[in-house]
Order: sequence, then structure tokens, then C-alpha cells
Amino acid sequence: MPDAAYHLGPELDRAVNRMDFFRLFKALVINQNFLYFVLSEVSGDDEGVNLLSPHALHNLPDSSLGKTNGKSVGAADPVVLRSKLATAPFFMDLLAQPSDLVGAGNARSAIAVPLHTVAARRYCLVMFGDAGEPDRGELALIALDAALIFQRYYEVILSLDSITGLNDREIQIVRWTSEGKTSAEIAIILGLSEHTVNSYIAAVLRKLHVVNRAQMVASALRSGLIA
Amino acid sequence: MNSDQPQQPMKILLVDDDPAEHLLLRRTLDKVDGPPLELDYVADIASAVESVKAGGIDIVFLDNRLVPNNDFRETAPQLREAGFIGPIGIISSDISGSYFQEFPEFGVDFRIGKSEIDRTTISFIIAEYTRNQLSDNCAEDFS
Amino acid sequence: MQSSAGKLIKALYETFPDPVLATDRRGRITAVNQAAIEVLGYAEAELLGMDPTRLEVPGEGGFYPERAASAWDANEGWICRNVRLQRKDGSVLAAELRQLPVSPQDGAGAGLVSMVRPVSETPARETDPADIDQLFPSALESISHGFAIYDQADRLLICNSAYRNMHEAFKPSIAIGRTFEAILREAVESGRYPDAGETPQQREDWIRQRLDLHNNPIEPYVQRVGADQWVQIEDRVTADNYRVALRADVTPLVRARSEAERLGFILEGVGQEIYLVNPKERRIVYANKAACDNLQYSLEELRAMDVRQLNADYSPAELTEKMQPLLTGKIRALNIDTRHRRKDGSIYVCRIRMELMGGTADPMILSFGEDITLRIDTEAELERKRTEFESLVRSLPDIISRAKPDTTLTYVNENYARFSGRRPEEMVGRKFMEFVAPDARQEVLAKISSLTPEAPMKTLERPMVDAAGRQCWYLWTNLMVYEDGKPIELVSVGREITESHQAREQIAHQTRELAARNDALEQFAGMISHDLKAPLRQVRLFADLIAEDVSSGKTDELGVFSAHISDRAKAMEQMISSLLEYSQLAYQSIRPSTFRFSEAVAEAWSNLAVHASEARARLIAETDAELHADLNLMIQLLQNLFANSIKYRMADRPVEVRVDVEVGDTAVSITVADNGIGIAPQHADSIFGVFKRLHRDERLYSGSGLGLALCRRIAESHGGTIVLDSSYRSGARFVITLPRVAP
Repeated sequence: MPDAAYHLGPELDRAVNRMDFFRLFKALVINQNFLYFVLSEVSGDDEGVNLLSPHALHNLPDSSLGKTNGKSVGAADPVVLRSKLATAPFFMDLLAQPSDLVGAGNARSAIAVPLHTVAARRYCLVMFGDAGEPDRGELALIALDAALIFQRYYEVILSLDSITGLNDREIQIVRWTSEGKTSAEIAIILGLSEHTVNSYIAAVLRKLHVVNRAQMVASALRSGLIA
Repeated sequence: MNSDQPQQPMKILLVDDDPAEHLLLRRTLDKVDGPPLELDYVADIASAVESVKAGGIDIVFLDNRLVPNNDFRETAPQLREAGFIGPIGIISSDISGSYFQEFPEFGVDFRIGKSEIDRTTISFIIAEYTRNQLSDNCAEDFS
Repeated sequence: MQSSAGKLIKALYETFPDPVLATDRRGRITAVNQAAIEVLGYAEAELLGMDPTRLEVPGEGGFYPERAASAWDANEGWICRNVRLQRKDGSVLAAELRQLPVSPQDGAGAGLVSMVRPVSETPARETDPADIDQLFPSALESISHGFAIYDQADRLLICNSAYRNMHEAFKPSIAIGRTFEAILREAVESGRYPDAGETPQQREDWIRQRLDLHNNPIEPYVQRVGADQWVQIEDRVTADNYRVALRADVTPLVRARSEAERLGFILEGVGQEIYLVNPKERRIVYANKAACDNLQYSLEELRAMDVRQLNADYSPAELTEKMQPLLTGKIRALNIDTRHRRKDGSIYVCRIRMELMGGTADPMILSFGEDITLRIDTEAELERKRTEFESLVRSLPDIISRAKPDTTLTYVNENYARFSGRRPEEMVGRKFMEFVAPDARQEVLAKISSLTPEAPMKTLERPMVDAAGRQCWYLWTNLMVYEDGKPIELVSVGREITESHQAREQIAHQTRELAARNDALEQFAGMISHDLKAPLRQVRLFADLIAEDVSSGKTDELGVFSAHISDRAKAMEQMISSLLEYSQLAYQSIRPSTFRFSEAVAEAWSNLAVHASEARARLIAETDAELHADLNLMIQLLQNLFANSIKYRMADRPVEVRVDVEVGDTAVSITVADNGIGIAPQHADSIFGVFKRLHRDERLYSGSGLGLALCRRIAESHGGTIVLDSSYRSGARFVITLPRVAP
């Protein structure tokens, strides 16, 4: 993979948080002369796309979110619909089939790349802009780059559910939480932002398959992660 | 940053020793959709520390190289020591140096190249770092 | 020499189980066999010369019966009768006495052979004639000799099994009643006689001959009856025309004789000269063919000579004296290298080994001679080769040594000795580790002990210091010689590789330098792309803003934006021109010359005269040192440092720049110090990087950020260094160290 991803530069291997992946996807889109992108999970038949999902990434401007009110786009949207069925990347002319994902007038065309996680969950990267239809070779390269970035995104960010064991930072935070510290207090103690502390807590909740801090502390105590 | 609360303008602090960057960022922020964003500007880390201590700063954009400091590893911790717990992003015209990889250890939340900054990136940063990552049942009143 | 009768007795009766006595015509016992000694109880010495009648029981007689003489005269063969003999201890022995007169060929006188066959007294007397018929064959069976009687018609009448078994060839055809000729013919025709010949004619002749011997026996003869079996055949015709056949297996005897013959052949055949000399008579008794051939004398001629005449080196007297210790038994063998004279007068070099043989009575000298003319030639050849090798070794520039496996030197060549400042004799016998520098011993020892029969040779490069103290590099090749897996010798060859080593070092040094330059270049390119991109980005963004504002009719900020664009563009221009300058200076090759250092200082300062006077700067440089370097580059270096001093000055006091030069043995040290704002110690290294900007406001401290990078390049291209003296607190002080180069 490092060889295949070489043209993506060293940043692919260096990406550690959602911001970094935002930058990578955005760079991919800009390089292809597109403007916006949405990376989202495409799930069940009648469900739409939730742009507020913690796993989604996008750079859609608020103004383009138009009717969706920034929340989600229905399953009937032509882009969403086709993304659910497709297994290969495809190009769409939005003038013929306008999409609610990007507001009218914001983009004239779209390229969608279906993506898969090893856990058989389906994602899709959709790029919006005014560029014309790429030839098959260009489309294949876009799909390859998207897949490479997505694979890394999965490894670094999405696969937390299947990872057991906490890293040192996470254990520190669980320990402070067990002593009744709030995220803000822990942030000050550890010299981090509250956001980062909460990111760690969210990651721990997912790793331990629990839903709140009390369960987190109890589970960590039971399994001997903290004393 | 609860969305239920009355909208207070979000305040960004730019720390950069080149005043031109202030001018440029100001214009970029003006183009961002949504609620207005306030921008404060200081040219050195000492002023930045004063500024965060004074309060009201929601997010800091910190230039990587502030003369005479070496890089963010010397400056970002100073803001944390001042008790700032909001997000800190490092901005630089070049973020390819390998030491950038260590940014989480120095209390930094993200890194961004100066040429990558545009209105959609600002939107993403605002959304990402004001988002409540923990569901409501994970509120802190569990004790 | 023994008589033929003696031979017969020896050959036939030595192992005969019954006593046999031979008497001469004077009636004295001349020979007895072992059985006679045992049966009669007399010692051999007592029996020899005894009158045999003393063995008779007194009064009974027996040895010389009346009728015997006439019977013998009539050549009647064996005469048998029973007699009683008396042993030495007085006991009486009843025996059958068989006597045969023997006539020697030379007719010197007749003797008598008497076989005494003891008969058990009582049975013999009590046995009646009928029993004797049975007794006779069983008695015959008991003798180890083959015995057979053929009747007048030559038909086999009786024979013992020894006769049958005596030889394989005859045996299958033997049957009582068959004639000797029939038996013989059948045996021959069956091919059982190896010597009978191949063709029928040959066989017929052989049979005829054989039959003739059978019918007209003269004396015993030996016949080969098998591959390695010999039988002595003795046929007799009795008075009444019976033929008595006696057979004795003489294989061991024949074998022994053939061994002796073979030995004789061998002696004759060997290339070495062999002489048997009677030292008393100084005559050659025997000389083998090689000796005769080389000396060109026949054996007879040699036998007639005084052996000493053969020697060409020593007079007979000298030779006698030389031989004395051998003859007196002082030494067992005598080796001399001498020369022999041939019959034709020519001379050859030979090595003689003499040994004294035999008992004291009649000693013989056995001497082996070897013509060593050829060997001397070979040795001369070897010696010549050895000399050649030695002169080759001497002329080789390499250091060569041979040592025992424990590194004790057994040989060192001249070069090694010269290298070590010793004479070869001083070194041999000492361990060569003594001549290895102490810090290298471990490595050398490890290398030598890692030699194995499978990998007996290894090389090692190491620095050495010769007797004159010169440091040089040698490539050593150590070869351990093994014999049956055991180390026996260590051969070491050291070749000086100082020059190639230095060349290699230089190449390695150049490679490192090149790599460093490439690194610097890469870094340089990275810096440029980064540092040029940064202002370009701003130029682009401000241009975008102007376009935006123009399109929306805003004009208030256009001036600010264009000022930024202009400012950034100017910065870039400066950067690019200093880059050009840098690349021109940094990568040009130096053109050194010798100049007064003060010239360079003055030139550099005057180039900055305008800035200097603005800043009220003062130069303190009192030096009369001379420098061998590139003048232009040194001016450039100083100028950059002076510019920095003027640029980064304290606002409140005039600039003071001080230049000092210290000329050491191997290096020249130049210090440039100022009283400006100084540089923080943590930047001591990074300031020499390309485009290093330490101060925020470039408008206040104008400069491209390349000055110090250039200084470093210049110092390095002279093989020197430039560093910031971070201990200096009252400003900035740079120390330039250049190697001191002779013009």
C-alpha cells in the first residue's frame, strides 16, 4: 500500500485524526477540480444519508445544505439512491438529476465512489463540482485514491469498535474520570483540549461497548484496566 | 458549546507574526456561511497567553513558527499551561516536518497548511470542534 | 660343500621318524638324523665319529653281516634284517636295520646308510608270519614318506597312502595291479602334470623320460607335481627286479631354495650396487650386476682385484684407516661419499654404506653403493631453485614470514627485518606478536585463531608503524598450513597498501562529502520551495482579494493589498538574487593564493562602507598574518559576517567589530566578534541553514537569510569550519578555523 499511495504523499501515513482525513479527502477533490465532497455511510434500503453522523466527513457549505437543514438527505435522492446500488464509481450530471446533497446551483456534476469496510459496511465518497465527465482511466485513479484514503480512515478512526485494549492516554482519562473529574478538569490536568478529552472518552466508550461514563468506569474496573 | 444556548459569536484567536496573515484570515472568515465568527489577532505567544487568560477565546489558530520560538512544541504548551482547554490548531505554510506528527502530545488538536485554509475548511473545523461527541446520556452529572 | 650322500640324507631323512646313520668307508658315523639322537639317546657329537658297532648289543653283532659285503658289491640295494641295538642308557632296542651302501659320484669311497626301524620287541617275536603280512602294510602306512613297490612286470604291488597322497596328479590313477606306465600315462593325459607339455609329442617325450628314470634310476631327483608342490623321487630296482619307489615331499625345501634364488635374482636386479667384500683379503666375493655394469668389470675381474683399487678418492692406506672402526666393531655401519673409478678410468660419485656381516671368524663386509651423480645434479637443481626463490623473496616488496602455529618466527625476509628495524636473526625464534602494535594484537590473534583446515587463509588490513615511525597500511595474508588437520606452519605475507588505502579513504571522504552536499542541496531545494512558496501564496491571495473587491466595487483596502503584494514580491526578488549569489559562490571551486589577511579584512569592510558609516561602525583588526586561501571567498565570508554585525546591532550604541587571527601549527583560527544583539545559544547551529530567519521583522533587519549559510560553505570548501561561540554573551562571536596550508 505505501507504494500504491506514494503519489498521495507522506500525509496519508501521517493522518491521525478526522481533521487530517478531511484534509486528505479535500485535497483529492480539489486536485480533481471538484469543490465539495461527502463521505458517508450508506445503510439500509429506506434510510437516507446522515451528514451529522460522527463518521461522516464533508465540506459542504451551509448554504448548499438548502432543504436538508444540515441534517440528512432522504433515500430517494438520486445520488443517494444510485450510491446504494452501485459497486463501481460513477459520474452523474446534476443538471439532469439535481441532488439535495448539494444545493441547486452549487454544482453541476458529481462523481461517486462506493467504498467498503472489512466489516462489510458500505460507505460512499461523493464529489461535487462543475468538472466534466472524466474518462475511465481518470475515474479509476480517483476511485483508487479514494479507496486508499478510506482504508486508512477505517484503520485509524472507524475500526475502534473492534479494537480491545486502551492506550496510555485513554487509561489516564478513564482513571481521572473514575475520580470524578470532568472533561474540562481532565483537559487542564493533562494539558489537552476538552474536545480531545471527549474524543478519548468517546473512543473508550466504543472500545468497551458502553454508553456512558459510569458504565465506562465500572467496565474498566472490572476488567482491571484501572485499579 | 450547546446548540440550545443562545448563539454567541464564536471567537477565534490567530497567533502569527506576519500581520498579512491576519488580513487574509479575516477575509476568509467573512466568507464562511452561518453564524458570524469573531477574529482576534496577536503576533507573539506572550500576547496569546494573555489573551486566552482573559477568556472568551473558543479556538486558537497558532502559527507554527513564531520568532524567536522554534516551533509549536514550544508555544502550544504555554497556552495549555494558561488553562486554555479549547481546541488549538497549528497553521503553517509547511506542515510536512516529521515533528508535526507529535502534535497530540503537545496539547494540539489539529494541524492545517496555510494554503489549505478556505471557507469550507473553516466550516469543518467549527463543526468538528464544537460538536458534542458524547451523547446526552453521557452527561457529566453521572456522579 | 656336502657330498651327494650328505645331501640325500639331509634332504630325505632330516625329518625321517626313524634313526638314520651314515657311516663312511672307514666305518665311522658321519651323519645322524634327529630321530637317531632321540631314539639312541646319544648326543650328536657323541655319535659323530663313533664306530657303529658300539651300538650293537655286545656279542650279537649286526652292523656288518658277513654276506653284506658281497651283496653290496653285487649292488643288491637295501639289505634288511632284525638286530638288537643298545641305547646309551644300556637298554636294548629291537629294530629292523636297513642298510644301503652309498657310492659317491667322485668314487672317493663307499659309505653306508643305515636306517634303524625299531620294532616292538615282544610282538615282533610273537607274531607269526601270517600277521606280518598285515603288519607290513600298517607299518608302511605309518611312514610319512611315500612308498611303493612295483613287481617285475612293473605292476603296482603295494603302496602306502602317503605315496597316493604325495601328489594330486598321480593319485586318481593309482590302482594296485596297474603298471607304473599306465598310471603315469593316464595322469599325463588327464593333464594333471603341469610340466608334461602341451602337445602329444611333448607329453610322449616327457613320459619316456620319466619311464627311463623309473626303470633306470640313477639318483633322486625333484619333480614338480603341482603349482607349488615338489616331490623328491627316488626309485630303486631291487636285486630281484622289483622297483621300490620312495617319495618325499620337499616342497618347503624347494620353496626355501627358490626364495634364496629369488633373493639372488633380486640382488642381481636391483639398481643399487651391492658388494660382498672379504675385508681380510680385501677381495670382492660378490658384486651384483649393477655394480659390475657400472664399474665395467666382470665379476671374475672384480674378484681378482684389491677392492681398494676401485676408490678414486682415497689411497688404500686411507681407506684402511677409514674402515678400521667398522672392522673393530666400534661402529655398525660406515657411510662414505666417495668416487669410484671404472675400468675405462672414468670416475663417478657414489655413496657407500658398509656393514660388517657374519660371525667373528670370517667377517664379511656388505656394502651398498649408490651412484649419486644424478642425485647430486638434482640436489644442485633444488639448491638453484631455492636460491632463485630466496632472491625472488628478497626482491619482493612484501613482508614475508614463516612461523610455527604459536607464531614463533622461523623465517623473516629482509623486508620484514628492515621494516622492524632489526636483523632477521634477531627476529627468528621470537613470537611475531612482539612485533605487532599492542592495540592490534587482539585482532591479529583472533584472525589467526580463526583459521581452520577448511578456511586456512584469511586476509586482514591493518595500520602498521615501521621502524622509522612511518604510519602505513598493510594487507596481511595469513596462511596456516595443516597436516592431517593439525596446524604445522603459519605463512604470512604483508603487502603495503598505504597508497591505495589512502586513495580509498580519500574516495570515501569524497563520497561522504558528496553525500553531505547532496543532503544540503536537497535541504536547500526544500527550503527554497517552501520559502518561495510562502510569499507567492500571499501574493496570490492578495491578488484574489483585489479582484473580489474590484468586482464588488470596494476600493478602500486595495492600497493595502497591493502594498502587501509589492512587499512580498520584493522579498522574493531579494531571495532569488541571493540564491544566485549563493549558488555561484558556494559551488565554485576555490582558487587559493597567498595574501595578507589584513587585505581581505580591509576589502570586506570597504565594500560595506556606506552601511558602516550609517551605523557608526568601527573595525578593530590588527593582524599581520598571511593566509593561503581563496581571496575573493574570504572577502565574501568576512563581508557577510560584518554585514550581520552591522545589521543586528544594538540601537543604543555604535557597532564595534573585532577581528583576531591566531596561527597555530596546523590550523588558522579567525574570530569575528561584535557588540550587537547576539544570537541565542539554541540557534548556534540552525543559523547556518539556508533562509534561516531569526528575527521577526525583516524590514528592520534586512537580509536574505543566506549570509551565514554562505559563510559555512566557504569555510567548508577550504576544509575548515565556522561556528558560533555560544559562550560569548556581549554580542555575537564567530570562530572560523581553517587548516594551515603551505602555499
